[in-house]
Amino acid sequence: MTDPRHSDPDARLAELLSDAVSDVEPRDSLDTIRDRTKVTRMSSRRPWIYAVGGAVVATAAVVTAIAFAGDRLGLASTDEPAPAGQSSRGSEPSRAADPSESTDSAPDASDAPSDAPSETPAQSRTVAAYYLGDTPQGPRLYREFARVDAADALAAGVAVLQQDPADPDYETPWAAGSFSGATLEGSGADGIIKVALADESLHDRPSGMSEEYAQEAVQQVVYTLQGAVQARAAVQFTLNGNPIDQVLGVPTSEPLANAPQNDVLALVSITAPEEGAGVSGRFTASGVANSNEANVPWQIKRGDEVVLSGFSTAEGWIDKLYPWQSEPIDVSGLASGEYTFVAMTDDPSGGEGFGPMVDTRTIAVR
Amino acid sequence: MGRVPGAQMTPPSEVPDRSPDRAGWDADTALERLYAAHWRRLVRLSVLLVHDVGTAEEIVQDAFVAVHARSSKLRDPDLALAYLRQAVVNRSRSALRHRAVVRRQAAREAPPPTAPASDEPSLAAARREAVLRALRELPIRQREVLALRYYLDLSEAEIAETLGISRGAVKSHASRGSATLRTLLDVHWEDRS
Repeated sequence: MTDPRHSDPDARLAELLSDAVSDVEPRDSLDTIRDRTKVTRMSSRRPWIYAVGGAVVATAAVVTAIAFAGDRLGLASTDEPAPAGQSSRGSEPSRAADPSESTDSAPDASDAPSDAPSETPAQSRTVAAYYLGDTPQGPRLYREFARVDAADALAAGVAVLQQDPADPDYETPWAAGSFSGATLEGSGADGIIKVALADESLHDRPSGMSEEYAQEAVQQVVYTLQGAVQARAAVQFTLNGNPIDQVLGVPTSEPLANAPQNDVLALVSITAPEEGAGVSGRFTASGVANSNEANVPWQIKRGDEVVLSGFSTAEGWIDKLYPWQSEPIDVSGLASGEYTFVAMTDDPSGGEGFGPMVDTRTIAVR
Repeated sequence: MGRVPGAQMTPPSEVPDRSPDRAGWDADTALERLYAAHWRRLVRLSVLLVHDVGTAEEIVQDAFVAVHARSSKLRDPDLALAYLRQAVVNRSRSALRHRAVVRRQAAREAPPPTAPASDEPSLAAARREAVLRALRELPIRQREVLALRYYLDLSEAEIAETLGISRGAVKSHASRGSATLRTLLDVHWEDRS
């Protein structure tokens, strides 16, 4: 029985781990994978990605317009009441002509103070969704624009929290069925968003989930739902109609404000291009960032090779994330195929300030 | 989503024009090669992380579907494998977070059937189960580092790359994790049946 092997714990561990799964014989799934990769091209999940011409442009226009609405919201300081749809910033671009879906639906939500989602038929809506992703400073929230069918903007916000992000680098800790719904009481920044947990299973922080991750997950809900109603309304988690004292172990008895952006958001997020977007000729990249001296370096990579790079300048830096938009990027010289668009925060050589953070999008150059 | 059952039964040999979209290069064939080489091992890796074969199969399937969409990775088998590993680890982590919730809920309804069943499983089976259970006791990061190091036999640098953490962090997760595991597996440590 005694074996000198335990004098080499590494070898013994390797042996134990291999042995532990040695009897696992997974089902052959090649056909399933083939079917799924076949369907993905024209999948109903993101049908516009490989579509051609007009459809792509139309979607991009909607997303851009909403992105500006969202960024305007982001610009409003946290305690300044910023009426949805009206920017108090003179410096804002005049793109305020919001698409109907975002501004129209916020009042809808506030009209329904208490009960379940109204009878409004579901329609396709695009909302800003926040998802968790890794950064050098631990898990942070990245923003992605997601399209869902929902009766109102708040329902759309709840839905995107519980669906997989388009970008495989992100994740959401909220499984489908985590929430049973949400309502907005009052309006604007004075309102309260009540989001109802389906059951008490999310009360405690699961073992294996860090406290930091749990806090990010709670802020993910705050940021996403505030984005959905286009107002910095406080968020109250509820269970069976009453406030719940904690969610994932994070105290939630009081309505929660959004935490400072610098504490919870990834310091750079790409809005356009979207994950998997097709681009040709020239395209403009945009997003939000808080980067040293407002510099937002970008790159286009093929594999690991940088084939194009440049800088854009955000509208500000230091206290929060500011919108940035690149000059038109000319990709007509690139062979068609798949590339990665990368936006970064600037890494100040002195090591002061923020470390580099990165957001990426896969793009198809045609 | 699963339509056209069996319609793609072409053998994994050279199939030049099945995927005419990207400069004549065939993503599907590359994917099939990857599948043949790594499917089982990646599912087993995921089982070490999530302790459930069905979930692991789904996770690894998803990872293969994801890598198929990234032809820049798919063209280079090493890049593709690195991407697959990363996708499997990340998706396993997400699945665990989702499942922790479900499990606690179930635990509330019925006492967990942790005691071994009356028909005594073989010693080897008991040991396998004990190893998987012990892994589950570890914080996720430690478990990931151990699985990558001891099951996939990756170097510190490769683990750091896969998990997006520093080599120092890999080292400390590995040493803490293996110490705990060794304690937890006390009785099985020298049992060689």
